[in-house]
Order: sequence, then structure tokens, then C-alpha cells
Amino acid sequence: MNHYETVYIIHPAIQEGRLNDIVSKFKDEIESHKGKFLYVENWGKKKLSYPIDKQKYGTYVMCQYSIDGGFVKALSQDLELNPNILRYLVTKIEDDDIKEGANTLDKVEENNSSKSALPKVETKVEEKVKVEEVKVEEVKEEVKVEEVKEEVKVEEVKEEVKNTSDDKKNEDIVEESSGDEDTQETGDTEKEGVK
Amino acid sequence: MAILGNTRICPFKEDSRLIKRINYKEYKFLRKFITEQGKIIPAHVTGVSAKYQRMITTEIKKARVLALLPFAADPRYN
Repeated sequence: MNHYETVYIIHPAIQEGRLNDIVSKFKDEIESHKGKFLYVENWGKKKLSYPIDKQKYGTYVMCQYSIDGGFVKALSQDLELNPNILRYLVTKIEDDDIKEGANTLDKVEENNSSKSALPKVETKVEEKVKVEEVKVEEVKEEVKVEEVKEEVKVEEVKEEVKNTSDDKKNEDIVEESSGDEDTQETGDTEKEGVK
Repeated sequence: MAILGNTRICPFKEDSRLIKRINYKEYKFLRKFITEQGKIIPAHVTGVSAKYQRMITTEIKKARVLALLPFAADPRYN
């Protein structure tokens, strides 16, 4: 005994009373083959993505049942020959896929979960981009702080130099130039961060 | 190493809950992986890994049989 799932599209002209007859007929068919009817769900009248038998709309019904695999062909033959059924699809399902709940033919509201999941992914991407931007800003701030520190050092050195000999002044000039080079390097790293 | 701007992470490896939604009944979710014309978008564009792209294609084709998704969008069909 395997679990199967059948979705079939019923002709849109068929009203609820006759729709229930078709579903119960299918249920009887399964039970006559020693199958077990597990779940039925009416998806309601939907617009078809393309016309089938010149019809633009159809009522979708989803059934889950467990039956011996040899009878699946007989069941689909019945659906095939029924003129009120526009299209059907039989798929094998696992235990996890079986839906639990009342076996009612009430129309089920469409799940909002599909809508909610879409923006979730988008927001994730946006958050990542934001995080990257923030990182870049942090790097910039660090670079600025470093530059300020270097300037302060240079000023301190200059003050010392005033009290000492001319030879040391030349060294200070070298130090200043080296400090400028450092700032240029930090500028380069900043550009890389932006990239 | 790949160029940073062009790498795409598979959405199903990021969030394993999405794997359950690769099902023909979740045709609204599968709409993300087809173009306006109804063509299946190649994996190298969406970044989906080969394993899940195979699942997506089979489920989209099931949904097409049931007219939940189009084989090809017809501009005259309303």
C-alpha cells in the first residue's frame, strides 16, 4: 500500500451538489479497490493558466489516499473517461506529505505563507547590503582616527625640535614626509573598502 | 576565488525551510523561478544549486499539467 495524491479539475459549470457527487464517486471507487481515503480538499474555482477544452476556469479538488499500486491505473482511467473532469494529476507521496484534519469539501482559503516568504528573502538581501555599508563606514572612521593621531604625533615632534639642533629638524622633515605616505596608504585602503 | 559582486548563494542552502515548498501545490512560490513568458529560469541566473534546480523543474512541469502555471504565456488569453 502506497500513498497517492490526485488533483483533478472539474468542469466550471458543475454546481456544488453535483461536485460532491463526483468526489464521493471517486471516494467509493478507491474504497472498492480496498484503498483508504485519507484527505480531501476543495481549492475552489480557479482561473486556468491556459484554456482546457475551451474552458477558462475550473474547480480544483485534491484527494489523498493509500491504495495498492496496481489500482492506480484503473482509477486514472475513470478520471480520463469522465467528461466532467478536465485534467487530473496522480502523484506518489510520502507519509510526511499527508495532510491531517477534517475531510471536508469546504473551500480552503489560499495560504498567505507563500506571500509572506517572498519579501523575507528580499529583506535578508537588503540587510546584508546594509551591513556591508556599515562596515565600510566603520573602516572610514578608523582611518580618520589614525590620521588625526599621526598629525598629533607630528606636532609633538615639531615642538621638541624647536628646542634641539638643526640636524634633528631635517630628521623631523623626513618623519613628516613618511607620515604623509602613511595617510596616502590609508586612503588607498579606504578606496578598496568602497569597491 | 569568484568575483564578490557576481556570487549568488543558493536560497535553499541559506534557508532549509524553503526546500519543503518545492512542490507543485506551492505554484505561487514556483512563480519565482519562471519568467513572465513562463520559461524556467536557468540555475546560473537564480543561483539555485543543481540539486534543487532538478526538483524545481519537475514540480513546475507538474504544475503546468494542472494549468496552475503556463507552458507559455499567451498575451491574447485573459
